[in-house]
Amino acid sequence: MKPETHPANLDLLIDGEGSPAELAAIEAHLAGCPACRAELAAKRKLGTAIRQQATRHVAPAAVQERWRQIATNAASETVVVQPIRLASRRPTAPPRWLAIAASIAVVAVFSAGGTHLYDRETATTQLLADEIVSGHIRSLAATHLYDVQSTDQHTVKPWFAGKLSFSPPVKDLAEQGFPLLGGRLDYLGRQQVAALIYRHSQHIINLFVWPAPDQPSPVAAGPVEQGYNTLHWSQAGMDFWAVSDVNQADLQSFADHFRD
Amino acid sequence: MAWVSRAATPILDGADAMIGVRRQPWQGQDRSGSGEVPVVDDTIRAALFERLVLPYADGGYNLARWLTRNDTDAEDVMQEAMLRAYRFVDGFSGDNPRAWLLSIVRNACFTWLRRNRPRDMVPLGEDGAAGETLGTVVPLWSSEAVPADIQLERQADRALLDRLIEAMPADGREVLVLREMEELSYKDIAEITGVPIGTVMSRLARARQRLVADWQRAVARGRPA
Repeated sequence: MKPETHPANLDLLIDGEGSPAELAAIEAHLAGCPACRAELAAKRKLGTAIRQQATRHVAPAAVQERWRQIATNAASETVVVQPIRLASRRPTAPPRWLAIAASIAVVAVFSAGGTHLYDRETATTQLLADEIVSGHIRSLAATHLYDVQSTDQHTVKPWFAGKLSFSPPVKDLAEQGFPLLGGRLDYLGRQQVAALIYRHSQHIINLFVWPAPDQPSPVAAGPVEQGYNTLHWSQAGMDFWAVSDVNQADLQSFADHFRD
Repeated sequence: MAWVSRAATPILDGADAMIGVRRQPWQGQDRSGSGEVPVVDDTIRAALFERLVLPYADGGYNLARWLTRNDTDAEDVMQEAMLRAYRFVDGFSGDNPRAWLLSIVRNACFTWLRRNRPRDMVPLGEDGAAGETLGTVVPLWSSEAVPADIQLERQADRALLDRLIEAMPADGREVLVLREMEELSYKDIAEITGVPIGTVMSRLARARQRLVADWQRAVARGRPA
């Protein structure tokens, strides 16, 4: 047997793909190769078996209804956002997705109009935390932690110029135990934001920055999401969200140094 | 109003970056060029969602369920994918909403897998290994080895096939589900998974090869000699 002469693309025949020439070549080979004929037959049988016997999973009716409600609830003006249970790992009840679906409109309307309802604020904070933790995880998992890698704040800050409509403050906090590693452009809530990357021993801290018209607000702990701590504050017309797997106290200390 | 959409680029590209896929023409495009997009009315978005997304949600769920391998996680991942689809549906401008949704679902699944089931991420063998595998597996493929009465044992086989598919690496499971259950073309699968058609082809060939071997081995073990 000479395995290297077998065509690797027998599957074209099964799937009705491939050019006539490719298919003709496979057919020609099959005529003289019992092993490939057996492989083809076995794979065809497998396909039939999968279609007939393997489970095609169907979501429970309640789950399907939840998908439909994404649209109907978001389109409705009378959406009621319930408090988020921050401790719940898996919110089965509507609040979280309702909050997310409604968030863009809700945040736009209510943060501007000053009609701050506690529930909506909570939902908004939760949404932000979700996005921020996702952004943090993304930055660590992808090979895309930095767009600009430099420990020099005078390199990182000018790098953002021309790429953003605002200029984020950049500080190296190496002496305080939080060396600057670089910067990155990121998207949160469909808005372009600056991400500054810091290190604290072996931990990475992402600091997301974007302009905000809100009044300055002190450092406040955000939700803990999937084991990541979050902190947020506003100063100098910008919102800051820090996220990391360092403990809350270290993250707090980072925020304090940054604000100094 | 920090959160009113100003930039048009969706955050889909984050998930793409995680799994290292090529960007598709309909993923993450800046439609406007100017960076300014009108805030889309939720009524319009809801209508688009109902027309472009909901009809394909069943296929999405099936894929999510096969990739996460349990109901609860499939529901969570799917909910997230549907929310994402809702948010970005007004940016969809391609001609294949089904592939678009499935790609959002699979990206959400692989993000989840990477975080929660890193072992599933070990891919099927290398492309070059196909020939070797063939050589070692062929003896099992004499026509006698293929069980002729497999149809008679419906219940047992259902459980067996499910179990064998679940035991495959995620990339093999994905391509089998998309091809054999959703009956998508190589081109669509390539679009959804973000790999070239050649890769889809070799992945599918390897996945089938492995599943056939596992299946025959399991059936042979299950019956007294």
